[in-house]
Amino acid sequence: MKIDVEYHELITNKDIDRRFPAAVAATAEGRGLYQCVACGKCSAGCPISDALEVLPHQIIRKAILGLKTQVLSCPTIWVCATCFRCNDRCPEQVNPASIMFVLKNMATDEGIVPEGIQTLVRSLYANGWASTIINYEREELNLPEVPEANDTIRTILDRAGLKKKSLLEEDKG
Amino acid sequence: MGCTIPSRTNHYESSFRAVARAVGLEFSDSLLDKWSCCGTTFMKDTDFHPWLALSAYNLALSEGEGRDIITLCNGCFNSLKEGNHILQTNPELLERANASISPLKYHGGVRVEHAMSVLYKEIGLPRLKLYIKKPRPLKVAVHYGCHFLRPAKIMQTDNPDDPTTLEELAGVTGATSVRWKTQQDCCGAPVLATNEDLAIHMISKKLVDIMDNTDAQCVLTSCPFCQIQFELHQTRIGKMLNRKIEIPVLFQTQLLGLAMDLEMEELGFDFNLTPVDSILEHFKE
Repeated sequence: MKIDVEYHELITNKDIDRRFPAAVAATAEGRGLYQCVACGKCSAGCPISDALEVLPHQIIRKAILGLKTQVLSCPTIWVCATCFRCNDRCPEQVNPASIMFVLKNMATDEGIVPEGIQTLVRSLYANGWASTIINYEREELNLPEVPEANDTIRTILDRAGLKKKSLLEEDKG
Repeated sequence: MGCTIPSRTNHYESSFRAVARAVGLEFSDSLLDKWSCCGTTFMKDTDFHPWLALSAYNLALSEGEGRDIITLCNGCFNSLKEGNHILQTNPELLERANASISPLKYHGGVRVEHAMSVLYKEIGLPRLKLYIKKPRPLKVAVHYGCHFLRPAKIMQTDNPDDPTTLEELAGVTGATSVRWKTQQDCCGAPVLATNEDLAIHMISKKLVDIMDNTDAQCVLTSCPFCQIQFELHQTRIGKMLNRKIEIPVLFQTQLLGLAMDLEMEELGFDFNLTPVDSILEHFKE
């Protein structure tokens, strides 16, 4: 009789970047990383766990292990709905949703950004708004007019060091 | 103010203004030409410091006027309140954000509140009740939207696992709120930009739950993005599941306005994407 055993790919030294977890934990939102005890409560309460291949607690574990490439290229971090249920329920104050934000920031540094997100940033950079203001509708409802563009915002984003290469350029490589 | 309201749900704003005027809640419009997008999740996702600078910018504007911020949008509420918390508790990040927004400067003195909390906590149910002229015993399914409640330590609005704010606000109009299993699940709106199929899967679970397991006559929301998510995909989900998915979706302020017998034009039902006649009928005397 043949027994099917599912083998997981072995992790080797070349997959591990030891500086990666330290870099995550050094950020304001990522400092809970090492507190994870892998209880899985975040994944149990996650409203999209039925659609995820890699669950939130697995992302946290991979990050602690230093599996930088695997984590930063994983779709899970981008479909996190940021509902913050995991932050509220984590018994160790790991704040998994906040760590997802840190990981998405790091993925952006590597040039990995979904097109839909780029579109929103481009609109914000151009007008100061993520979507187009519809003033004729406001007029119909007797609402005060809202300026359709605010140039101050571009200056603020520039000064704050917006990652233009990853976020504004069409071909992100 | 936010982007989603002036671009896609202006009727939320006009119905709120009508309710606020009726109950004597005053606020200032003096910064209407200066506000910017809060950056919400898409900016925080990708670039933390510019996101925080946007929070600092909007908060500093408000501080300059000596006012607190009241917002109708859950996205703005969460973004500004979290940003505010970070700026108030982390001097280094505050200094860095202030460098980006000079000559403006934020000192950390602004409070950020959601309009529904202001109606609930500041105006209060007894005072709201005084203005109700047409109480109606409707059955409603109330949806909070995650960012109104979570992360609870920072948002501090209600118990995120068993909230009552919106049920009680709806109750003022005579309505009863139904219980539904997926009530506290995310509507999927923040996922729209990265995975549309998943976002629609998320809202379809909620719509089916309401239609199959409750006798709700409508859904009530108080977040522009949740409202769009509940309204926009009904036909598409119906086709996907090969069945009729149709339920009216109203803003909480629209129901309050109806029960207060306010001007129909201001309540803006022409702008709802789902047919709302079945609800309006109850208010024709």
